[in-house]
Amino acid sequence: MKALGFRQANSWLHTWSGLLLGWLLFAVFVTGTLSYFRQEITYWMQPELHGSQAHPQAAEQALQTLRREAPDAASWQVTLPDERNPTVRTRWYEQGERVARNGGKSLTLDATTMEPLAGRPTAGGEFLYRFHFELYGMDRTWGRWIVGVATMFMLVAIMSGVIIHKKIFIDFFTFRRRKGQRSWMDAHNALAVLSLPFHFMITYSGLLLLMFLLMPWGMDAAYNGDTRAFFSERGRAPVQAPAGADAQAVPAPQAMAPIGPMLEAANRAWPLGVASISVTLPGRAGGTVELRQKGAQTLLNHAASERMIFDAGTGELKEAILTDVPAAGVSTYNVFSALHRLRFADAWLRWLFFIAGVMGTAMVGTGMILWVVKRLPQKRKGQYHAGHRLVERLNVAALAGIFVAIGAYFWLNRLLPASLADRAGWEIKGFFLVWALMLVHAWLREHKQAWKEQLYAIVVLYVGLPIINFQFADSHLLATLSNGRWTLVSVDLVLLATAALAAWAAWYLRPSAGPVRKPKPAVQATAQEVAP
Amino acid sequence: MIAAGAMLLGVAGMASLSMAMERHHEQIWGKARLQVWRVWALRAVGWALLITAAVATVRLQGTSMGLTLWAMEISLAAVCVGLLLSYVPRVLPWLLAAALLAAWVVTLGA
Repeated sequence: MKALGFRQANSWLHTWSGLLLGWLLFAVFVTGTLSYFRQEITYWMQPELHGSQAHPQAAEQALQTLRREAPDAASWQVTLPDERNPTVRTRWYEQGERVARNGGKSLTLDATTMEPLAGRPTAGGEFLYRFHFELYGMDRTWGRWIVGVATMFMLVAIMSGVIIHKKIFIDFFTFRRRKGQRSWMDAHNALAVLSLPFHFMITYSGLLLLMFLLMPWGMDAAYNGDTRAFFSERGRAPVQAPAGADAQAVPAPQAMAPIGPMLEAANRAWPLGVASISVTLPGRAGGTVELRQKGAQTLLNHAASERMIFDAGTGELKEAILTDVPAAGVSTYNVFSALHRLRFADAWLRWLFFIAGVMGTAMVGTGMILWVVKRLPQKRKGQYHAGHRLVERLNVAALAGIFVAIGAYFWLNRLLPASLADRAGWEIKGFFLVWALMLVHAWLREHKQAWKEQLYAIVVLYVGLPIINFQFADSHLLATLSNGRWTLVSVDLVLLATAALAAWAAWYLRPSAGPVRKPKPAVQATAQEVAP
Repeated sequence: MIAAGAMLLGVAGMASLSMAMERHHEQIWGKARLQVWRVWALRAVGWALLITAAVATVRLQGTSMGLTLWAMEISLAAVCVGLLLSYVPRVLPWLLAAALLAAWVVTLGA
C-alpha cells in the first residue's frame, strides 16, 4: 500500500480523531459555552430571587443585617449586587470555625428590603460548568482525564484542520449556500477559521488547566508531591484563615466606621467598582474591612482583583494590595487560564466569548454532520454498513439530544416542588434520563425522522420556558423587560433564539428541501438526505 | 464606548479586506472593475482600520485585556461580513461607509 502524503495523512487524522471524540467534545463545548453565564443561569433558575433590585445603600444595610444576625462572628463576607446577580449574598464564620469554600453560614438578601430570600435548591449553571470538565457520576479524576484526552484530540484536530485546509485565505469569508456537502464544508471551514484564535486559546488553555492533573510529574519532582506548596508559591493558595480565628480571647468591642467613605475611595480607584466586602473581627478592636475590586486590570497575573484593606475602627486605608505581574512563564499560564475562566469580563466581552463558544460548538457539530454527508453516495450505492448507521444515531443524540436534555433540566427546575428531597439532584437525574431517552429514540427511528422529532422537541421545550415563567411575578418577559432585568431577559431570548434555530433546521429537513435544480445530480441528491 | 467604536472599526476593516479579494470584489462589482490599485487601496484601508481598532482597545484596557477584546471583536466582525457576503454581497460598500460613520460618531460621543 502506498504511503499517504502529508496532507492526506493529516486529513485521515482530522477525520478519525474528530469522529472518535466529537460527540464528547460537542457536549463539552455546549456546556462550556453556557458556563460563561453560569451565574446568570443559576440566578435565572431561582425565581424566588428575581424581585431583588440593586440599591445604593445595599452595602451599609447588609452590614447592619449581619450585625443583627451574626454579632459575634469571626468574619463576615458580603457580595454586593450587580447586573449578574442583583441580590446581596452574605456569609459568616463563627469564632474558631474553619474557612472553606461554601463553609460557614450564608444568607441571600433582597438588596432593597434586606429580607432573607430562599431560592429553590438547584445546582443551576454550576452543574453545566462542572460537567464540561469533569463530567458526572464518576470519580472526579476520571472525568477530568477523559475530558483532558478529548481536549488533546481537539488540539490535534485544530492543527491538522489548518494543515488540510487548502484555501485558508482565499476561502476566508466564503460560505456557498444551498450546495449540499459544499455548504457543510464551507460552514465548517468558516466557523473554524474565523474564530481560530478563540478555538486555539480555549483548547490550549483547557489543556493547561487540566495539566497539573494529567501530567503532575514535573511538579511532583520539584516539590516532592507537596501540591499545596507549589500552588501557594504560585500565589493561588486556598483561602487562609482570617486573622483572629484562632485567638484565645475575643478583643474588646469597638464600633465600626461607616462603609460609605471606604466604598467611595475604592470606586475612585476602580472603574468597575467593588465586588465584595469582607470584615474580620466585626465590631471588635483590631478588625479590618477588605474591599475587592470588580474585574481586573491585566491578564498577566491571572486577572487577579486588587484589594484595599481598611482599619474597621477608624476607616483609614491600611494597605492597598495591588496586582503585580509575575515572570514570563507564569504570566503565560495566567493569561491562558484567565481567558478560559473569564471571571474578569464585563457583559460585552462575556457575550463575545459566548458567541465564539457557540461558533466552536457549531464547528464541532458541522464536522460530525460532514462525516455522515460525505458518506451519502456510499449509502445510495448500498455500500452502507453498521458503522455509518451508528454514527448517524449518535449524531442525533449528541447534537440534538443534548439540547433536549438541557431543556428538560430547565423544565424540571420550574416544575419540581421546592420541598422535594434532593431536589437539585433530581434536576440532574432528569437531564441524564432525557438524554438517554433521546439516544434510544435516535436508535429506534429512521435517521431523518429522528432529527426532525428531536428538533420539534427542542422547539416545544424552549418556547415553553419563557411562557411558564409567567407563573412567577418578577420572572416573565413583560416584567423583566419593563424592569430592565437584562440578565433574565437575555436567558429567555436565548431560549427563544435556540427554538427558532431548531425550527429552521426542522423546516430545512422538510420533504421538498434541498437545492432547487442544480446541475450536478449527485450534489442535489446529497442535500436532500442531509441532516442539519 | 471605545469597545463599540473598535467593534465598528473591525467591521469596516473586515469589509474592506474582503472587498479586496478577487472573488468578493467580483460578487459586488463584477469582473470588469477589478483593478490592481483598487485591490491595494482596499487592503491598505482594511489593515489600517484593524490596526486603529487594536491601538484604541490597548490604550483603553492595557495590552492583555485590550488585545483580547480586539481579537474577539474582529472575529465577530469577520463572521458578520462573511454572512453578508453570502446573502447580500452588494451592501458591503455601504456597510463599510456606515460602520465608519458610526465609529466616528461613537468615538466623538465618548
